Amino acid sequence: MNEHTNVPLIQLKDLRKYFKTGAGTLHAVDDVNLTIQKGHTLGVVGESGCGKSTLGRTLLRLLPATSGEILYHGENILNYSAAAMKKTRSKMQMIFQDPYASLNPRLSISQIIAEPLKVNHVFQSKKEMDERILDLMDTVGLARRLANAYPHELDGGRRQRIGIARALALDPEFIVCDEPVSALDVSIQAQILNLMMDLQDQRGLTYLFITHDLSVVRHISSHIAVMYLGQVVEYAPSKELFQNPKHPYTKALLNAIPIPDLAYRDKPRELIHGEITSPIDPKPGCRFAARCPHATDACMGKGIPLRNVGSEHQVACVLYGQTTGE
Amino acid sequence: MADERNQTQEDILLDIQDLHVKYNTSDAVCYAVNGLNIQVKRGEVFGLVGETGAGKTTTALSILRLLPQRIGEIPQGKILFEGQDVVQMSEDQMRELRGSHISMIFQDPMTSLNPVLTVGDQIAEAIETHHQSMSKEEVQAKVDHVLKLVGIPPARKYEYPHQFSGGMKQRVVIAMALVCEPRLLIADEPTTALDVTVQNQVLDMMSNLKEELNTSMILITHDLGIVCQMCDHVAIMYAGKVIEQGTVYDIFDQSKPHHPYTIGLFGSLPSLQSDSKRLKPVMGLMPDPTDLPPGCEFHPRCGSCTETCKLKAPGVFQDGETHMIRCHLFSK
Amino acid sequence: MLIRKEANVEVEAHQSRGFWQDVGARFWKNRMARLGMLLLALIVLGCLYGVFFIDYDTQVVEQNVSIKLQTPSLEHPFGTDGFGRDILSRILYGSRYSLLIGFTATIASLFIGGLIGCIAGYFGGKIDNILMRFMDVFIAIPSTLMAIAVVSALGANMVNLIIAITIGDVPGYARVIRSAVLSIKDNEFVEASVAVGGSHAHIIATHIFPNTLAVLIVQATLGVGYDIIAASGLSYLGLGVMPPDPEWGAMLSEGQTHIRYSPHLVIFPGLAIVITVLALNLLGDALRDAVDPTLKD
Repeated sequence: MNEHTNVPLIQLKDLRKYFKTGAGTLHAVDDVNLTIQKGHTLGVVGESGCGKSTLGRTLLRLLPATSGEILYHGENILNYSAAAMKKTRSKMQMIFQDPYASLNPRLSISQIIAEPLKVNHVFQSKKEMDERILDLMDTVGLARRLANAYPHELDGGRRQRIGIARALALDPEFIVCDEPVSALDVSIQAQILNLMMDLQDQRGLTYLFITHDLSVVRHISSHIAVMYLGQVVEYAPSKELFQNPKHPYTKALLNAIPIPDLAYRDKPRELIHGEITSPIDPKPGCRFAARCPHATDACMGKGIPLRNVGSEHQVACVLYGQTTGE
Repeated sequence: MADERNQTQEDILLDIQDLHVKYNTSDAVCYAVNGLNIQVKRGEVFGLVGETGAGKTTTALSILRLLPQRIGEIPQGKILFEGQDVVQMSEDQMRELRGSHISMIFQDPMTSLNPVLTVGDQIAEAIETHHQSMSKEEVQAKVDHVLKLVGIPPARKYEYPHQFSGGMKQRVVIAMALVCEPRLLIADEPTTALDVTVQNQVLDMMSNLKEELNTSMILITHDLGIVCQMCDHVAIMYAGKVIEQGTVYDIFDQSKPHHPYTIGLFGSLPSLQSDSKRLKPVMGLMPDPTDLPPGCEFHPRCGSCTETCKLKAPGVFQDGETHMIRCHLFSK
Repeated sequence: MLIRKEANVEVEAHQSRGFWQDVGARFWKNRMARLGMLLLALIVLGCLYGVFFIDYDTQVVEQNVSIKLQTPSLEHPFGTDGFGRDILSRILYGSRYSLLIGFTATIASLFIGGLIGCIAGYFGGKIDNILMRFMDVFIAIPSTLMAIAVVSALGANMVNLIIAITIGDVPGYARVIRSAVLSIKDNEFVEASVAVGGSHAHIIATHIFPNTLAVLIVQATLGVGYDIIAASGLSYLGLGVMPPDPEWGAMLSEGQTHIRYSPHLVIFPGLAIVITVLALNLLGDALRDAVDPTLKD
């Protein structure tokens, strides 16, 4: 651990992922630069279609990146051969959003958890593997008697636990969590969030936590990146982001959450207009400008980079921070 | 506010008394609603809160008698809409009721609209079903009017659903539900499929509409934030029963007594204001509706469970005039 | 879903079983599956009897016009045909042709078509385009015409008949399997398998193929019956099993001329085909349910 303290676990440099569509090129992830330190959780928030899921999948090379670098322990995994990538995959795992679609209905719970172990030939004997599977089930709070049950026999919360056990099977360092609790009821959601935080404490895991739910992201993340139409518009430690949001979009998001507190009941709603579009051949300039109440001519014409506005706090908006630099 | 206390029968639009609903499937009987009592007053927004399987949607479908045929059954209870029992109505009477007096909007705006008809035609169809005598011009005028109400430029009525964004589609669905000026609108998770900024727009539009049309609304949701902002009255459901009910000021006031499940629901929410390291959710799962536990349905998951809770179903504890809790903790 | 079946599975915790062991257990629980197995066992027994105990020269092809067109009796349980041959013996003897053609052609076309469909659907893009356009060419040619072409090029015998039928069936299977694969490969569990390092072969074998089984099996069980009938049609045209060999389809067509006064000439070979197809359909349905754990047993 000591020798790696300076090198962040994950670093994204100018990462791009474009899709060719009939209507033009879709800029799903555009020039994203992010850093995740070991043991931290980076929350990525944004509305549907902002590119946050594509970012997570590109990061794990589930989708080929268009350009840029993905540094893992300082090495660019985009240059890895298939064999080297397979080795790295065991250290970088993913938990999926939909606890229904992410489990093969034809396999039993133990078969699902066994898959990563089998594919990577972790164990020689079947007995060792079975023990490991039962251990993993204990870890995520699944009763051992469910080992031969099938996914459809279980509720969403338990299915998501299976997904977590599968992700943990290879002892990863880093897990991309793609909306892992969005499909769950609140009380189940809280159980899963607690489990994920406990696992992080016990195993020193690093998370990239993708969600649209700001209260969840605040709860679990140490840092937050807000995405809009493929770009990061604001990045800050999570406390700072909630206390001192800068970007008009971040502010709009925060204002839009209905808060279960009577003190907020009779406050008038602050609305932003319009809806997120899709970033097909976007024009240079701020992509939020069309919905932004503060938009001026300065927002158009040229790209607006992330600028430092405080320690670790970066915003991509012409309203803030004229100074660039470290 | 003060004179609402002296409510008469007239003020109550919908009165559900001791409603039971069960589903008879081939291998088990599923007890979805087990003795539900709620009253919805004219002009108010009534929030029905609970997790998956609590019986919220079943209750809504019962009001419109849209339970799945042959499987769904209402063995007991009354649903009085303006004093008339919906459960006893004939199918013809129901058809008259649906859409014109009570209408419902569903969670997914994408599947509620027919992709091959223009938006205007779909709204017009909803009007013509209930007002056959109306002339073409009158119908079109009404379509324009209702689209304006939900914040869509009337010129867009010639477009097809796929040309609308998610939030716009949900507005169209709401327009269709409101076009016959129903007295009761049932909204089943109307904004769950939408992004927060769009949800905010739709909720804002819905509260404005409610003021304008004086429609009562039953808002079904699992989001306590939405309930707090939108509703006047709230009922929290668990295993087919209302376990706590009151005005929004009763339920969201932490200093008042609450059902242990309500406390668990609030404990499950990650807060936006304060830092908490761990959430304090209700442990365990919703009970199996085909095999409900005896006594209080919540007792296997309850932190304050006593011997009485395992044997006897709790009665209703009345805390003040509007607030009721169904729990043994308060029975003395 | 209104009705949610809760998780109250009481399964003993023990070592993980394989997919096919689970399938076997579920299959055996099904009563219709056992009936299908029984029928198929009877058919196979009959076929074996035909192979070992029926003499081709004296019992199958020897003509005896003096006892022609007899109705069923103790001596000839299924009666005799227009040349005085015993129909029961001919059916038992002929079962080898019909079963062989039906099964081999189905399995071969399913294998080839399934492989093409899997590859086309899974990899998509250019590969998909090339393979499927190639299949379209085959679909464009009427299957009988194709069979005539194949048989006349290679010669009329049973092996060539099987090849002809197989070629006709492949494009259909390829299309069906491809569309099944397309809907399966977009599931997150396929992506999850990539994320843990699964290879293409592993993913196709554990995730794609087992989920196409339901479609595949239904197609296959219908296919066997269809192929038996197709083979009889071709035999009728003189392109397959040649008279006097008693292929079931050929027997049906021979019996046509006597259908008015001696219907047993058609009834019994027809029944043989019906029972075989029925047995296979029962087995197929049961197998389809057995490979799907989401159905209640």
